[in-house]
Amino acid sequence: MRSEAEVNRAIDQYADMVRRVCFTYMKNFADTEDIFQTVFLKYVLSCVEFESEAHEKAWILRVTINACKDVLKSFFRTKQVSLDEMIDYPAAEIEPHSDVLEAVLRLPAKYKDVVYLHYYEGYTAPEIAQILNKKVNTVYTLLSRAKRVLQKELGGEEEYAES
Amino acid sequence: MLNRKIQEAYQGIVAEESLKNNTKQWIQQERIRREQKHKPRPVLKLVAAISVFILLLGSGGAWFYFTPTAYITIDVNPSIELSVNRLDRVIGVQGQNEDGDVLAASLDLKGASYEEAFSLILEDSWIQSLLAEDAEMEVAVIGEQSSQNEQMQTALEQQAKGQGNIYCTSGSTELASSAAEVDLPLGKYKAYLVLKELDPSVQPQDLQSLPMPAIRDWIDSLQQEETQQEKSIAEESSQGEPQRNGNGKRRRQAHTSS
Repeated sequence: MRSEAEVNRAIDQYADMVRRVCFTYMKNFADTEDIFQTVFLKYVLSCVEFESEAHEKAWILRVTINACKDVLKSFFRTKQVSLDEMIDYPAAEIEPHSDVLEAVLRLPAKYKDVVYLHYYEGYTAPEIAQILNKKVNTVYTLLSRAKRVLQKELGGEEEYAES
Repeated sequence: MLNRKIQEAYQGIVAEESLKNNTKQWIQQERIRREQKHKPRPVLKLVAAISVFILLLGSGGAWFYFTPTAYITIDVNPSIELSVNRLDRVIGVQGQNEDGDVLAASLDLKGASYEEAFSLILEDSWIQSLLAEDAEMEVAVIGEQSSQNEQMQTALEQQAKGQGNIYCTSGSTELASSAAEVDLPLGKYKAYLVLKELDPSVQPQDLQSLPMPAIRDWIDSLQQEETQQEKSIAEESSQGEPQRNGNGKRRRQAHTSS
């Protein structure tokens, strides 16, 4: 079990990142609180020896994304909402104050994490593939499709440079 | 650029201080709850300690009881072997040949003292009939503790008195192994070692078919002969005329022909 100091340091260091992932996926603040508790409790109980800060960050990202998906699945089971309905479900209780964020939140769920990880966190497609346990080609495809949707929504002319 | 726009958009999203503090508090409470849950209560600790003690006592006691410290081989064809623990209780009965298996199966000796077990064997009708026909029985105590061996041998000799041709002996497991290597019972092997001292030409197979009384007579005659020779040598040397006699082979031939 990790010490109180260790977990407090991790909360201070990664809370904003976890909050952004929650913002991308979750509908309300209560779910976000649950995700915070789940992620940092797993951190306390985990025996993983992190080789570096990057390793630790990627671990927390993966745990957060999985926790969000678990909550969505649970919601999905209890409310018996169809997959299409769930994908289009509004993601955050915080009002997105920019057209860009609104466009990202409107993306289907499968595009949201790759967009966040690539465009905000700066991960490459192979790194994203490792974090999300997906094939690299799948990540390239998702990024490419997400980019097309966002360009269409925002009217930009951005190109996804394959990293 | 989409990259920059998304970065700027997400930049404004930060974790609320209340969210961070609540999470820290909850984690701390959860940590305490889990530690208390896994901390054994005093009564449970006592029960666990007693259980471990009983378990150790049980396993130690089992080891104490079920570890043999001596073996008694009873060879009259049938041949059986009794394993005896340090409390002088029989903890195993093993037939040493086909007839021995039959005898071992017909007797309930486990848990009895070795003396009770030996009595039961002597009372067995099959053994009684063999002894009545003058069959020779060798009883050998084999173990690493010479004091226990001697004590058991004496007790068995007392029981065997007047029961027929029963010869008791004892020795270490090493000695018993050496006897087995030359296919002799322990008693005959010990006699063979004595004979070999008196006559180096003696071979183990020379003793195999001889009954114990004949072997004892052989030893006695050799010892007497040697004593006689020593006397003669002493007398001759006192007269100043040293004289050498023959070798041991002649002695053996003299015995076997008698």
